[in-house]
Parts: sequence; C-alpha cells; structure tokens
Amino acid sequence: MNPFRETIVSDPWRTAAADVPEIQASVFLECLQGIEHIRRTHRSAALLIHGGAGSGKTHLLGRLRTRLTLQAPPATDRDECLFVWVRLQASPRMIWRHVRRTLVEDWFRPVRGQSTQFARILFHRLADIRVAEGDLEPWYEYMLEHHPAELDELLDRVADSLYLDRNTTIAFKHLAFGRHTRDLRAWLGGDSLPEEALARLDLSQEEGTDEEREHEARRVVLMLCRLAGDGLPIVLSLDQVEALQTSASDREGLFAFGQLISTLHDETSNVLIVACVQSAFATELKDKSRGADYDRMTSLGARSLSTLTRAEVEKLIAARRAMADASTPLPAAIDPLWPLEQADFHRLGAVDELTPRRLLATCAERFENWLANPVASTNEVGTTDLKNSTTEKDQTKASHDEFLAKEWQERVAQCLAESRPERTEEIVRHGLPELVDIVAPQWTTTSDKLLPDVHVILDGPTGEVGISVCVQSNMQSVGGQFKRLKTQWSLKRLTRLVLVQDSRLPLTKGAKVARQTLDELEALGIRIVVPSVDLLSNLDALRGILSDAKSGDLANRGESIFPQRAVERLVELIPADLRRFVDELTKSSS
Amino acid sequence: MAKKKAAPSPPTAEARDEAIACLRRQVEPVTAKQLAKLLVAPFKISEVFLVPLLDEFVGGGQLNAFPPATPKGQRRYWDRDLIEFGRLQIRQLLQKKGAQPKAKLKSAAKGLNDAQFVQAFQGLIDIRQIVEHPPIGKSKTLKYGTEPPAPELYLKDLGQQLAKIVGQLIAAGTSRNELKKVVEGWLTQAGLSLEKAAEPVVALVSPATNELNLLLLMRQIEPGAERGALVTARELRRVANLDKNQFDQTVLGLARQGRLMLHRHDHASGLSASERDELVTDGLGTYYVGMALRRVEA
Repeated sequence: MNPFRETIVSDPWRTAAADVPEIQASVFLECLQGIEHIRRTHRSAALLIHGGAGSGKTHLLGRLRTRLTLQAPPATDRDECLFVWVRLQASPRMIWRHVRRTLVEDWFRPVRGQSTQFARILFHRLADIRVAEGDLEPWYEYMLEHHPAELDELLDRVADSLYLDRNTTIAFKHLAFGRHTRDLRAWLGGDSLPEEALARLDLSQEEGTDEEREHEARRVVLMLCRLAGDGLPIVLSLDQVEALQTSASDREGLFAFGQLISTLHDETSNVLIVACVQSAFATELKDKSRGADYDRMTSLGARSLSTLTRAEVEKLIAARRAMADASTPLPAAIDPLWPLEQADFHRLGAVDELTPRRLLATCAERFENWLANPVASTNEVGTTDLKNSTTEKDQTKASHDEFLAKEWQERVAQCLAESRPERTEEIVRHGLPELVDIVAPQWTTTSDKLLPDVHVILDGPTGEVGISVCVQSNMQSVGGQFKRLKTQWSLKRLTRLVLVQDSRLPLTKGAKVARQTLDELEALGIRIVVPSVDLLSNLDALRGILSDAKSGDLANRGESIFPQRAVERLVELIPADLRRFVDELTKSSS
Repeated sequence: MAKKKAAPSPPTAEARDEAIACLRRQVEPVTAKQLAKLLVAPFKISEVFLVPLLDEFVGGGQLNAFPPATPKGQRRYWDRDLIEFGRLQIRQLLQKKGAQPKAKLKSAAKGLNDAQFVQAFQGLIDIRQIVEHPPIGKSKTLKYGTEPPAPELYLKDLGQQLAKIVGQLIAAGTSRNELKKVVEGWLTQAGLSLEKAAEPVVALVSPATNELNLLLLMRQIEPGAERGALVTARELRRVANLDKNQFDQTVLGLARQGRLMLHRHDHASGLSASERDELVTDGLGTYYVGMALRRVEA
C-alpha cells in the first residue's frame, strides 16, 4: 500500500486519510469563530475560502465536519452544530431545490451509527420546553412509548413558538414519532410524491411552475433552518461553486449563487455559510457578482488557503508515513522529508506553490520508486515535475488519457448504480447544456422568462428548441405541467418543443387528464423523448467529471486536469447514444 | 402655517448597501451623524434609522464599532478591524507629535491587547509606515516616527565638538587641508563620499521600494489583506504604477521571499490575451490571478 496515494478528498463526510491540524489552522479557526459569532449575535454570516487546485478546500470542510459531528449523546448543555455539505453540481435555476435535497439528505444521514442530525434538532427543541429533568434520550423514549399525546402537545408548542407552517409542523411530528420515514424524507427533499403518499403523510405539495417549485424549495430550506433554531447553528458549506457555470461567460450561475447567499444571510439567523472556490473563480465572484451579494458572501471575510511551509510538509509526510502498513517496512533512520529529497522540496516550493496535493503526489511517486529499488535514490525515475521534454509531455498526455478513460468507466458505473428517476430532472437540466457545448457547439443554451416550464432552450441553426423535463410521480402535477406547456407553446416563441420523460415514471392508468393533455400536445407537434437509464447515467457521469474539472478536483497523479483538457478526451469517450440524444432533441422533423 | 416636515422613511435595500459602501471609503471610523451627512440622495438615511442600521451591521459582523473620539462623542463605525484601527491611532499620534517611544504608541492604540498591539505595530514597521529612530545622546530609548530620523538631531553635538576642535587646531597651526583630509576620510569610512555627485532628486525606484509599496498597497486596497484575503493582480497592478515586467518581477520576488503567496490561475489558457496580460506571469507559462499576504500559522 502506498500511504501517499490518496490525494483528493472528494467528500467531507468521509474520514480523511490523515489530518495535520497545523495545516490551514488559521482558516479553520476562523470557521469556528464564525460559529461562535453566530451563536453570540443570532445572525447568519458568511466566509469565502479560496485557494488553488489541491490546496485542501474540501479537506478543510472535512475537518470542520469531523469537529462538528456529534461526539457524544445529544445534549443541550454542550455547544452543538449541524453540518451540511452542498456540492453545487446543479442548474442555476434549480439551486434552491439542490440545496434543499442535499440539506435533507445530510440531516437524515446517520451519525455515530444511529442518530441523525434531524434527531439532534428534535432533542434540542424538546429540551427547550420539556418539564422533566434528567437525561434527554430516556425521557424522550419514555414519552414516545407511554405519553404520545403529551409528546404531541409539546411538539405543537415547539411549532407555535417557531411559527412553523402547517406542513413543517406535520413533518416535524412525523420525524418525532418515526412515522413514514421514507416518504417523509422524499417529501422534505422535494421529490414528487403520488397522491396516495401525500394523503398518508397529510402533507401537500406545491404544483406550480418551475419558478414556483424553486420558490417552494427556498421556503422549505428557510423553514428547516428556523426549525433548527438559534441554539443549533448550521454550517452550510458550499463546494464546487464553479460547477454552476456552463461557460466562463455564463452569468446566470453567479447570479443564482449570489442570491442564494444573500437570502440565507439575511433571512436566517443561525447559518454560517462557508463557500469554497478556486482563487481564479474568487476574483470572478468579486468582479461579476452584484456588490450587495458579494458583501454578504464575505461578511466574515475572504480567506486564502496557504501553501505549505517546510514544517507542515514534514508533518504531513510523517502523518502519511504512519499510515504505511506493516508489510511495507520503511527505512529505519529516515530524513523527515523522505521519500522526498531536498532537491524535490526546493523544486516543488520554488515559487511558493507547494500544495498538499502536489506534495503527496510527488511523495507517492518517490515511494513507488523506492519500493521498486530500495537502494537507489527515490527521485531517480520521477516524472511528476519533469514536464519539459517532448517525451515527458507525451507521457503526461497518455497518462491523463488513460486516467480519464478509467474515470469515465467508473463514474458511469457508479451513476448507473445510484440512478433514481427523482434525479433525472437535475441531470438533464445541468448536464444537457454541457453536453451540447461539447458535441454540438453550434447550439447555445438560453432561457425565456415567458416560458417557465421550458427548462432548457437550445438556440441553433434550425431555430429555437425548447426542452421541458417532465419527471414527476404525482400525476396531478404532471397534468398541470402539460397544460401550462400547451399554453406556453401557443405563444409561438419556439420553433420546436421536446418533452423529456423518464421510462421509470410512466403515466399511470388513472392519470386521464395528463394523458389527454399529452395527446393534445403530441397533436400540436410536440415531441416526446424518453432517454434510457444508461443514457442518463452517461450524462450524469459527464456533468460530474466536468464539474470536478472546473473546480480543480479532477487530478491525475497530483496534476489537475482542467475543463479544456477534460473535454478533449471526453469527446472521444462519450458514447454515440449521447450524441444521438442531442441530435434527437435538435432535429427539425420527427 | 409652516409646512409640516415629512417623517423620515426607513432605508431601502440600496440605501443600506450604500451606507456600507460609504463607510468602506472612509479613512477612519465615523459616527452615524457624520455618515448621515456623507450620504447623498437617493441614498440618504436619517440618523434615526442609521444608528440601529449600523448597529445591525455590527451585530452581523459586516462593520465594527469603535469608542467615541471624545468623552461626549458618539460611537463610531468602520469596516476595518481593531488592528487596523490601532494602526490608525498610532499614525495619527506620530503625525501630530513626531517620533515617540513604543510605550506611547501602545497607549495611543486604545482597546488593543498586547498581542494585538504587536501585530498592529509590526505591520506598520513591515510596510515602513513607521521607522525606528535610534536613541539620541544618553537616552537608550528607541523611538518610532513616520519619517526617517532627521540627521541634525543626531549630529548636533558632534558638529559642535568638531567646530570647537577644528578652531583649536587651526589656532595651533594645523593646516586646513590636513584637517579636511582627515574629516573626509571619516566621512568615506562612514559611507558618505563628498566627491560623488549629488544624487538625482528623483531616484529610480529600487526593487526594495517597489516591494514595500506593493505590500502597503495590498493592505490599502483590501482591508482584509492582513488576514489573508486575496488581492487580485489586476487591482494591484492598476494602483501600483509599475510597468508590467517590473510589477511581475516584484511580485514574484516577494513570493520567493515568502512574504506573499501567489494564487495560480489554473486554466489561463482559456483567457483572452488581454485578460492574461492582467495576471502575473513567470514567463514560463504559469499565470497567477492574485496574491495574499502570507500569514504565520498558529
């Protein structure tokens, strides 16, 4: 096992390979101070953290998550927090829905094996009003079993004191009594639910236009933040903000991000927003965001992640060396830089660019050299930093090509395994503009405010093609969307309209209105496209890789692969199905 | 009958934004009353609304509050932190009273604890906004001023002694040329040559001066620079008044010295030539989008 090999922290919910607390200690401390600030002032605030690719942004969030994870049974005499990690791989017009879904998933995520963050909220809220003394959990269990009516009354009091709306109150009660967990989770996350499920839950669901659904998601997020209360600050970490932009000139993503931050900042009282971006993107945010939005996203300041000092390098190497397994005994008396040599260190840090990822990648390579030939110098066969000769450049290109091919295969398999129809809308709306940009660059993506149910508009050689994604379990919502589409089509603002559906969510037998309206739409010349699950998984993999590339999170042997390079290779890797999908959407006749 | 004055209306979102922006433009903290005068229509905010608004910003961490300038004065507001406020107080004292010992500077920096004072003080020294003055005469106390020490103060006694001894030696028959030779020798030894032509009034800016100026400018254009906020190459270049190469070399030099940290633009190839020109480059294909002052991690 090579203890230096793992160089990317892709998810702060996973335990990091090794953490050296001294690295980025001051920025970490500022995050903790930010939480204290919120606790003290009862006002939300934001911190913008930026650094180069591989500087440890997600690792820092992982450290924060570890610190905030419940270390002991819930208690209200301790300062506790909630944590949410949102990777902004989303369409800007679905940003609130994406935040809502992620927040709910994170709060349902089991912590310490059993209790969730929602449970922590419940205990804190009950602790505010309960009359009994003693341990909270046994008291709750007792109430649940022996005095459910009284518990229900207490929950009503909580809801009243927080001015929760009807839906949130009922959802909160279901949580407390452990009822309908699966459907409740879907409802809270914003998934479309069939009428029967909604009736069971006694909850309603917004059946509006795209904009109204987005507004509803915003309202639910704010309500959930309110449910957590001032005593339980929420650290909302926003990662991969770059993925919101389809292209460098795309302003919609920046605007949506700014609005998201401003709303959370001004309309909640217990949220610490920690946004992580690459340095180049930080300057874009500063230049192109609305001034008021930028002020809010940096209300606690903007902080740079530092490159490594010599002392930090030694500590990080020591921490990784300690991970080496017993079957790989390291040299007995070794230099604190080993497997690096002094020359490596000086070269890597020449202009102060020594990031943890670059360091670890070089160490990994030197370590492999040493395994192959323990008596030779570790840097005799190194390649990481030697990119000048043509041969080396060719080798690097070949290595990246091979890496991307492997990455593509693995991601497609993973997306396929995790594929759910509830995510289809997000995949198509976020992934399609990226795909079109690669395979049909003569088409550009636009939107039209008068066509709120047309989610993507492709403007190209044969006119304007509107694409509406209709993937909902609730047939009343489907029928409503079809009716609105019929009206919007009559405005004659599009050359063609295509309806994208998911084969896993067909119209039910009882959905007579929806079926009839669909027939009418077809009669008007509107086409229906039903992509296969395989195709959707390919599209999901594509947007995932490109999002990582834009955010500096796609790296081969420590070297970042940026969008331009990734696209060059993806053009070769994407299957013909994806191209045909674009052709089918853009073709002028059926 | 006199026309009844309309009751002031609550500030709009734009007026709130302008209030913050206006405070950011101030070189020192201001009271709500002073700020109200600085705001212009349509962003005017009545003092009645301004005080709670500013307090709200303070609560939200967007602004800081500072004690009144006089015992009967009002609370003051600014977007800079306590350290920056301390620096301002130190500079104001020195401008008013000339060079002062460190203890006086410490008392001027009201509200700063020892560690904060050291941070404020060292920051001023680093960017040469204040300079050390060696002790004069029998005093062993160092002083600090905003300008380098005036030589007259230091050389006054020496000059008097020299005048006296020269008079005595001439009276005793020592030739003037011989005396001049000895004095010139001492001057040369001390690094002052009388033979050399006078220095041009406007000297070429040395790299060291460029570096100091850039560090100073970084702090001026980005209030959070001290705590690691990014200063973009474009912003700094605009105010630095150096040619492209001079600017890039100075920035790279500061990075090599570990005084600032460069932030690479990871995909500059996707930028236009003019956009790339605004970045700092090492000439080998690496571009940097901006820089941050390097902090020493705790």
